[in-house]
Amino acid sequence: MAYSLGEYQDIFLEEADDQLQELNKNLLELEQAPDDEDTINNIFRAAHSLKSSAGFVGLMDLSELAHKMENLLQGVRDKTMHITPEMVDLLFKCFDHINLVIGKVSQGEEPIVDLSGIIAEIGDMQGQSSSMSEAKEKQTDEPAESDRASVPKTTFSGQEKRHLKRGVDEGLSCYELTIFIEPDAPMKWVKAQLILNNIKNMAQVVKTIPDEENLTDEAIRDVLKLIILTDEDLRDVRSACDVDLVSQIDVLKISMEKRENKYVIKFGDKQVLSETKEDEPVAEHPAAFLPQQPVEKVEYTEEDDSEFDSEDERMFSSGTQQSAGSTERRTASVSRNAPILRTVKVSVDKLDDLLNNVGELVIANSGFFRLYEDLKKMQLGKNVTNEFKNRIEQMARIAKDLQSGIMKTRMVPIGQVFTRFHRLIRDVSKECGKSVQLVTRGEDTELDKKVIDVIGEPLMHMIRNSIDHGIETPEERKALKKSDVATVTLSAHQGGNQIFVEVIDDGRGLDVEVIRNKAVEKGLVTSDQVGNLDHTEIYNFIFHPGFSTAKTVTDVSGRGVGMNVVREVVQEMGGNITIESEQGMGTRFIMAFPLTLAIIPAIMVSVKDETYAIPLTDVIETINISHKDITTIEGHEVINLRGEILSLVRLSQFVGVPLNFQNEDDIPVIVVGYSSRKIGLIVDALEGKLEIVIKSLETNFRTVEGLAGASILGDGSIALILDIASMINKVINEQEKMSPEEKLALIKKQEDDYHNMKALELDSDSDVVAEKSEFSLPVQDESGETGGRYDRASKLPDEEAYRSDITTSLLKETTETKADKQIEPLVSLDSGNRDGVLPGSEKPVFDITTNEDDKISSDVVSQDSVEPTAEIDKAESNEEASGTSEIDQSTEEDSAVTAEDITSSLEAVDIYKDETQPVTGHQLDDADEKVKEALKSFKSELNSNVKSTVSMGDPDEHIKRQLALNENDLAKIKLLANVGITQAAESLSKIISKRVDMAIPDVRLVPAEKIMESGEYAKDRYVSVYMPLIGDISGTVIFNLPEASAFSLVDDLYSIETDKTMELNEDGISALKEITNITGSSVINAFSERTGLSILSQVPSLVHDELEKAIKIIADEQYDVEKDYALTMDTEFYYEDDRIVGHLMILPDVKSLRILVDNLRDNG
Amino acid sequence: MEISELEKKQEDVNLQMNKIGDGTIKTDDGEEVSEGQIVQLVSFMLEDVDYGVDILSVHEILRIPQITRLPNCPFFIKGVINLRGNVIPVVDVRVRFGFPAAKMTEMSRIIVIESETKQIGLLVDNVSSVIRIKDSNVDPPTVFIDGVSEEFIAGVGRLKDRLVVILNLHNVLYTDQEIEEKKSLQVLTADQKKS
Repeated sequence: MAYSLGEYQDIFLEEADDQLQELNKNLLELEQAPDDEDTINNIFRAAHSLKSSAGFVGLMDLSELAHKMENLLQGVRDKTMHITPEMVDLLFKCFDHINLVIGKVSQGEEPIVDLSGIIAEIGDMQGQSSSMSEAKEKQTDEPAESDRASVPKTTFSGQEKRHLKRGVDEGLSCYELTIFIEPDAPMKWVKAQLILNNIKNMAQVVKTIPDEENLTDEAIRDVLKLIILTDEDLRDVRSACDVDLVSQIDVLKISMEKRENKYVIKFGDKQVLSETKEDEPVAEHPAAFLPQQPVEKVEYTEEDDSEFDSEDERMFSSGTQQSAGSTERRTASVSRNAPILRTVKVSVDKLDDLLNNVGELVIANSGFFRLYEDLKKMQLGKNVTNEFKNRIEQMARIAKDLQSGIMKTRMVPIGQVFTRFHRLIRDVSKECGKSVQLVTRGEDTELDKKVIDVIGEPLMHMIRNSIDHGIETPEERKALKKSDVATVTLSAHQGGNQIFVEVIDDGRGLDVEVIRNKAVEKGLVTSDQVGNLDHTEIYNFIFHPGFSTAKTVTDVSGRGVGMNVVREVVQEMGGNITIESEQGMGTRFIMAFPLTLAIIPAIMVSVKDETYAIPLTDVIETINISHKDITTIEGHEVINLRGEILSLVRLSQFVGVPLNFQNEDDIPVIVVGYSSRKIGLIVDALEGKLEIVIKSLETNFRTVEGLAGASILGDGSIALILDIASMINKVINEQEKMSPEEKLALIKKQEDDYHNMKALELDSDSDVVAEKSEFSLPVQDESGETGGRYDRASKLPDEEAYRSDITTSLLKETTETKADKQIEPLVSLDSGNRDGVLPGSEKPVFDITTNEDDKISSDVVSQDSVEPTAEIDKAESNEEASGTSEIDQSTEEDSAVTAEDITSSLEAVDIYKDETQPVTGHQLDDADEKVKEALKSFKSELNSNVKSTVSMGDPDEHIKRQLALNENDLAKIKLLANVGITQAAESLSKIISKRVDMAIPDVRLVPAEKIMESGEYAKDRYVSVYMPLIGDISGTVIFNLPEASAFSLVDDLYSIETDKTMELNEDGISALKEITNITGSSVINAFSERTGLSILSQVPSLVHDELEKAIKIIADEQYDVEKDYALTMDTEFYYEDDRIVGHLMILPDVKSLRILVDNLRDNG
Repeated sequence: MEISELEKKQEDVNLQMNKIGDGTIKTDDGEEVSEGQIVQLVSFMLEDVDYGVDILSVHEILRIPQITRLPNCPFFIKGVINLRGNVIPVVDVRVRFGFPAAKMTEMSRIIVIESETKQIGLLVDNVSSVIRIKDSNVDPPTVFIDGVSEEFIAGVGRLKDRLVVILNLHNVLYTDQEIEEKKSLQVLTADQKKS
């Protein structure tokens, strides 16, 4: 098994290789120019880096050697020593040793190289006596064998020495504290910092080993040395050091002696004589004291030189032969001992270039396929063409491999980013007074280098947020019975073609209410809108710039900048971010990044003759819709996608090409996701999926709104890549900027285009077509001119089409100007077309009314589509239509909407609605859509403006008018309900063999919001059993029984003594469910039989709670159906002597209610 | 390559550049000036006016390839082209100068220029020749050129029989707004430097 230094080996080797090269280069320079300070500094730096990285991977000997080199050079830097050829030699020797060790490691051998000799040599060089260096050797050897970390040797720089002397002169005592920290203690540097802080309170700290700035676990290992000056009692000093997990404290007294004419620093204390008894004279005082000093030093080194050599030989005897000549040795050693490294550093730019070229290769390769097709046609003989094809395929494979290979080189494991956060978490949690641990998962997950480079910042913001806002204080956690230490988890994993990076905390979670209120306060959303947002959408507000719910701004967070940065960075990298949060349980930020940024799969679409690419990561699905499915609400085109309202954007409109209505029954729509919202993108055609290489437009131009870049396709042509996020933003901004009139005009234009297309299709002899052919003439001329190489011919038909569009729109404009003041002309245009084009013709009428930018008017639209009965002259209806819009305008002007206004507009509608005849299946769907949308907006209108209306009259009345229900209808419902309930009573009687009578004395229609009010028992505990309805009618049947009633009903059913049942057991529950099933189904059946609708009730469920809550629970569970009105029926049970009153409620959704009532009328 | 071949090449180049053996170059007006004093312009004709682009910023001249329209861009951006794997924008110079859009003809060319590390194509009706002018014959843009606003003009070169408008490439590419922004930015930084 190869020797390994663990996971950091590669990084270490890579770094070490750099440092060695640096070292080698600078040493050679040093030899040439011994006094060049830059060179010395460079060597110093290289040695320093080596020291820490070697220490990091556990090569303690190497670290020590580098440390010695550093010390030696420090002397030179401090001018206490001079560079001599001997010193350079020694440094080279060090270099060789280091090289040897690293070489061995890189070859997978255990680097058993005795470095003590060379270390000692350096010591000698620094003026230590030989005896000391031997002792030193012992000292360093010993810890290497035992588990005890080696005690770093104390050396002083000139400045430190002066400091010491000054201190001693002032009468302070000087101590060297050697503090041993438990080897397995976590976060030793924290302890060290703690000790240091303690000591600083009572003493001057002259020096720390390792450096104070360099207090990391790796640097400390297990030992911290402090040189202090103090006048405090030694015991106090000791106790200050005695923090948790400190195993041993050694104190040495340091004295300064003047020996001859130099100062010698003397270590010594009874306590530790056994460990460091030698005097450590550690260099002398500055050269000012001793002008002759350097000379002495030189003598030392010269004396020792031969010794070095012999040691050298001993050391290398097992390994390589060291040649005698130093220069020769140097060069030779470089070639022979050069470590074999398995990694190469390459700049990302180079990789990008390479990738670019490979992309070109792939593209060029695809040219061959076309060539092959041509060759095949030439019938050159199968062998040749087949061979050709084989070769192409082989080349394509190689190109593909090359491509993916280069892609892989860009991938970097995320672990290196994660590890950075241990420190951050510690600091931040300390700052916030919370205890937090970091858990990392999936460190091996690889991400594109670009993402790795930028992901640090968003992660930092999220972690800070989590700790500062998310995680509770230890006291709070205790109270919540959570573990004392909170956990922040960083996790990464791959899923599909995305990489997910998550930040998870187990704190208090996001407070939806607070965010919601803040969002409203900030005006990001109106209080009406906010009600319709789900939690995810509400969470997304925290990404808004300047959005902060923090009550106080702390150093850590709260300014509302961070999360905005997070989203920006993530989106820039083609990713998106979502938040999951559970109150009290924690929050999870999920960032999803595309697997790689350079090559992306995309869906190619076309509008007119232009091709665009939509990154597949943005695409949710592709659907085909019919023009009839499109509804226009407030200037936005929408469709109903499986019950969800999906806004549509026309790509053609966005990129500025004329609309194309070629196949109106089969319009391809790409549903794209953008943060948490979806939109549908209408395109002309889908061209398939393609892997594309993104080329930025910025390289040569600048960013273009709505475009993520360009890509070069196989034939060399360029396809632009859509940037969905910015595109949607742009569209939305534009729409918001537009005045209602402009919106109207836009829609009108679209509709006009549509109708013109229709007109063109309908009568091909029309003037428009004639003009079209006129227009094509100059085009023809142009083609004659251009012709040839520019391959313009292919574009011509479109140009022609374009021109014809212009023509038609011009034509249209004249009509429009006429239509400007009143909408009638347009309407009449439609009625003119009516016979020919039925489905489309009524639309403009709707749209224009809708676009009066009034919610009520959209409601109007809904009304008229709902009510497809009655028959009124078309001409009359047109008048009515204009009347309606006038009223709408007046309501618009008058912000205080009065009840009369609404009512009158509704009345107008009542007549107007009768116009839509006949109703086709499609229209019905269409109309339903409108009802849904319109009612939604109407509801909010109701909430905000129409309170007065409600208060003015019976809500029942209002709703009835609203839904065009009359007393007759309700009477019919009551009748049917009673029919049903009688049947139910019979069934029940049979089951329990006792006479049960039931009746429904009253049927009311209540708005969903008012159920509680009408119930009057909101706070009473109720048993509510509910059954969803499916079939032609969707909705929910709820049977509410006051708790007491429920219990006595159970008593009765099971013939238990009255008042025995105090809580519901299994039997009770199933009994109540059964009763509901029987009663509910019977009533439903009655409706079903009478109306001919098929209605099915599903399995009942039971809620036992306060009525208010019960209803809420049910509503939540049945959220997919909009239940705006409830038919409530008071139900009476007569059972022997008991009379139990329950409420049977039917909550059909609006659509169903209409269907029900309509069918009742038809069949009643 | 053999040295003699290299020399021959150099000679060809010299010949092409009107270089005369002693390091001087002949201008279009027949003057002989030293190399440092000459301004060489790639010139094209537009609505009867000669325009020139400094030859040092010209990367290459192309026949019209397929141009992909770029939506939501300034009106004068004709589109982007694929230049050996690089996507570069093309400015319709006619439109930029306020003339009606160009019809593509056999003579139409794209002059690919390099400006501030970016490559940009200029769509022009034709590329006539390389004009050599003595630098002393280049005037600052004081002469009003019909139809072309001053901001696009870096200078006017005088030839014996005609004038050549030398284009300010930077301003040709950017929209007025962007130029304004840049200017104000420069003023701002200048102010900062002063203070």
